[in-house]
Amino acid sequence: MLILVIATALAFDFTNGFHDTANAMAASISTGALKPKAAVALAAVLNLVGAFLSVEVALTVSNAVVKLQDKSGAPIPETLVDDGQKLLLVVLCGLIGGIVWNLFTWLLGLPSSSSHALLGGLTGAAAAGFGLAGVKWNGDGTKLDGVVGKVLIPSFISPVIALVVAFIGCWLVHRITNSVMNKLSERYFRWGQIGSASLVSLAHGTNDAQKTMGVMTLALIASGHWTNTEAVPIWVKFSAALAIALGTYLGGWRIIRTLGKGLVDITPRQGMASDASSAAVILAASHLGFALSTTHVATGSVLGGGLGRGTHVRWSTAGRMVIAWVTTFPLAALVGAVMWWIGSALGYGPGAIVVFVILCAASAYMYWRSRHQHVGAHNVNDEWDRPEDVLDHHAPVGTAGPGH
Amino acid sequence: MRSLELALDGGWRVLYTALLFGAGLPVIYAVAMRLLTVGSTTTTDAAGKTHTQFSPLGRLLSWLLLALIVAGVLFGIAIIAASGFGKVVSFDGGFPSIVDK
Repeated sequence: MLILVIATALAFDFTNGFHDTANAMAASISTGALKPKAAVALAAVLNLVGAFLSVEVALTVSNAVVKLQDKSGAPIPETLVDDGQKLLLVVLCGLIGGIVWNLFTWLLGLPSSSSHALLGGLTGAAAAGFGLAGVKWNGDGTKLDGVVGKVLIPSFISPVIALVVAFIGCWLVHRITNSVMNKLSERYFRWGQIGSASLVSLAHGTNDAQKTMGVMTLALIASGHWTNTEAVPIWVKFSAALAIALGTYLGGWRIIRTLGKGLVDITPRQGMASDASSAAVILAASHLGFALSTTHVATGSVLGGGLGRGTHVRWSTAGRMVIAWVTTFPLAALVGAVMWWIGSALGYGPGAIVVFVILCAASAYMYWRSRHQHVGAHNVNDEWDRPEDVLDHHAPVGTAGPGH
Repeated sequence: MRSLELALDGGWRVLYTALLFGAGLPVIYAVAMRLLTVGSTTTTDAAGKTHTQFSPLGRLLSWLLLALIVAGVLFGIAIIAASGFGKVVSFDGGFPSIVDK
């Protein structure tokens, strides 16, 4: 079962990769600052570097929302029943919850938080397996903690912060350069975009790969294969970094399209300001210990940049995104819990295999559905006319014409 | 609610820091671009296309600011990377270096 858990964790990391490529690269791809393939390659490399840069062990990743680990990251004794098999199954089901949600939102082309999906899945599975008392709603009150402090509140605050920073940055940039734009080429600002987008990718790499490393290490500790709570096994670090980089390279074109074209039209100066805002907020927050989702920040920045330039904002798309955000945690939790109920009913070993098979089936199905309206490097920049309904077989991507 | 207080407090701090770098750096970049046009000459050729020739002064000024941006970014990355390894960036000896916490 440990192997299944590790494989699933890497799979989650992979989905995390392509889900979040948009956060860094959507604006640059949208303005042509980077060719689509070049953008995802750059993002992949930087995510790889970032994943190694931040060695801060996120072993206590689950402590944000559930009581499975103590302060050092070791599993609490109560959870180690059945030789740790129960905990392993809980982790497995939690990961599945995260993956399924990531794939679902990807299918709909909606940027949503992979971190919240993971935490949600883990919470659901842990609550189902160990009881609701094991969920940390608010922590001990001395610092921001728990579902409220580390998931709910940042969901509202971080996009607002990003929006404000991007708005101010973009507005100022336009005020400063408007009078000389007849002499300056947009090309210079596209270069600026490449720089700021690179920072976002780096920031993302330092932020997100750690969570999967933490989960994998927890699984190893639970099954007795690893005892050091101070460090993460090298192969875990390597595989997690590689998984997220590969996922990033794959692109998540559907989400890139939504973020780069579906919210606002993006111009180089605006894109540069947005990306700089994202990078700054992500780095500042993680350095100050403020939990956040890179996706929420990136979206807030895109909105802020659009408002700063004064261009039309498709609020309906923004609305759909917010709905996706708000439902991420509970629905991922639901999937995690359901997987637990199925898996535990069949006994640990067979149960793990069955839920894993369910995961594969669900993933295959969603991938198959995505082919009906394929978005790739070739059409990611097509004109956005109306939000595509991905479940509508007869609507080709990027057609001009009256919407319905 | 205590959590809300903590959140707003943390939020303000993130906002200030992010504003400084997230809005500050693009602004410096914009200023660098604007300085680039100092002393520049723009000509329109027979086909109606405009060409801009930048002056050495303009180039120098803008490159100085760009160097400042790059230094700022590297500094920020160093701080983050250092704390990830359990170290800090210190200025003892006049030059930034990475030392144990």
